[in-house]
Amino acid sequence: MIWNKKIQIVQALLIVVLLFCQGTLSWANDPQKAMQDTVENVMEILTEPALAGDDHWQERREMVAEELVKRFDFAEMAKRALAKAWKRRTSVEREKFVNLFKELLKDTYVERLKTYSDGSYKVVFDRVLIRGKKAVVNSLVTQKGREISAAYKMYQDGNEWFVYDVVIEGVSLVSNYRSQFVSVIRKDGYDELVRRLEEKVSESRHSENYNKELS
Amino acid sequence: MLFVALLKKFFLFLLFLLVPLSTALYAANADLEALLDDDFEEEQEIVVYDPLEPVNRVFFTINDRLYFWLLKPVGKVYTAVLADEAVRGCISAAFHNILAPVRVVNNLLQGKFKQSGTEVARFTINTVLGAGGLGDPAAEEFGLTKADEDFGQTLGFYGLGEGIYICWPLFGPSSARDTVGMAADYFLNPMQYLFASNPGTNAGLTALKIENAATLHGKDYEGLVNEAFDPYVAFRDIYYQHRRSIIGGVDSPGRQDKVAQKDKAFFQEQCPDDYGNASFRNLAKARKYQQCLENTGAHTSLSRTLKQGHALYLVGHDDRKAREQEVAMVKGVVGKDDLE
Repeated sequence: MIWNKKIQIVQALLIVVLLFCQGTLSWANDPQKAMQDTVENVMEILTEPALAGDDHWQERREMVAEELVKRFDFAEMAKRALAKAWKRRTSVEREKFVNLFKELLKDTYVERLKTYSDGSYKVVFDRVLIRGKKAVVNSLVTQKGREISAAYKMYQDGNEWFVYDVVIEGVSLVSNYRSQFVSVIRKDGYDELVRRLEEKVSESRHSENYNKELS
Repeated sequence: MLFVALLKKFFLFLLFLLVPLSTALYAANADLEALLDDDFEEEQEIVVYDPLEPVNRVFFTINDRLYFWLLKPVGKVYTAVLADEAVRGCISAAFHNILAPVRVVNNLLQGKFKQSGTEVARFTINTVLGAGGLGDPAAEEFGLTKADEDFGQTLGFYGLGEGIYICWPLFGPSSARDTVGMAADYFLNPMQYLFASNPGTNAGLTALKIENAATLHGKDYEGLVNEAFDPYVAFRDIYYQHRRSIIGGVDSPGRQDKVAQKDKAFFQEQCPDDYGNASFRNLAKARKYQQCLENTGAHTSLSRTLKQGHALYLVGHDDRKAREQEVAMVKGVVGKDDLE
């Protein structure tokens, strides 16, 4: 009899634990933890006093880019941004596009993070939703009373979680690029899109070199 | 034995405490769930109806020039006088504060009574303690956060679509619906009445508001224009995505209609013969979600049934019915014995 009761207690305990865990926590391979680590690392680099100032920006941006590449799947973003147009491209075209867009996204994203260097930003991870091998990790970025929500869409590959889209205040980065790509392709064709992409990448490369010369 | 019985009661108490808690968690995550409906094959562009595109593009360019040729140079002088970003933030907060009637009324119109009350409280606290809205003690000291609503959102809440896209000179991105919204909200703007006899002051304050905002958000604008492949399309998309995300709460009838339509299409396609039979529809719906949830690797049958109950809630069943169903399912899984 006592044995039975014990089993029931263990069952009840298990139920309680499971209720706590579902949705908010998962035991292994936590996407929220993964994202939190990445953000913390990036913030640490950005606010490192030894690397402060524009003189060290080049150094910092390389470190930040290195950190981002570990967590953000820029190639997947490129693929998703092309969406329907992706299927119509040859494998050579796809590879070229992915490489270009990857570079552009990385540069753009790192450049946007530059404003975080002054240390006035706080990031809190408030919610996470896991559905199979996909997850959304939501964070709130506060700065001087302004609060902005930033959600990271992630997918699981093996034991790791990777970001495939960033949604800021309801605006998806990938969707935004997709809308623009659709419009450019419709008006001027795919080749023109690639030409503009090349132009943008070389522009950001140029400004990088320019920064180098300055420092 | 008594001790064991007590312990059991305690756990059951905990269990009942947690069931509503966990459903609350799911409800709170409904916006995140919507984000995951993005299978690659189905990935679609944001549908925008923009027959006025040529005209809109002209207005977009005018606004862009207005920023670079007027607002930005004036902003240089303005920021020389008001160098502190915090001060400019306070000015922007005061302009936000005075528009409280717009938010109070539109929250009421959408049946969001609590949020409406929050806005009344925020306005009172920030006007009195925050020096006319320059500060935000309501959020900082009382934890009352903004509940932004305008009439465009109210119309969207009840399922009205955007209509055509309009990029207004001076006002920027909007839609037919949101233009009607702007016009309606105009009458709730206290500035119209405070300075009714003095249109010059009103115009001056509006100019200050725009210039102040330009100095605060100009860098963001420049960055986005710079990054864009087609700035016009980029901003149109940002506007629509943002508006749709703030309007499309799970509780909005508009969203429920959309989900219901999607469901209807699914069943019509899957089982055209049986479609039309109401009891079949519910059963099929439950089965469909059961299937979905099995694919998601739900841990236990209990969590699965909970999710299922929530799924039913999401597809537009009324709250109480879903809750009842949920409790019944939990009872079924945990066992009658454990609940007594």
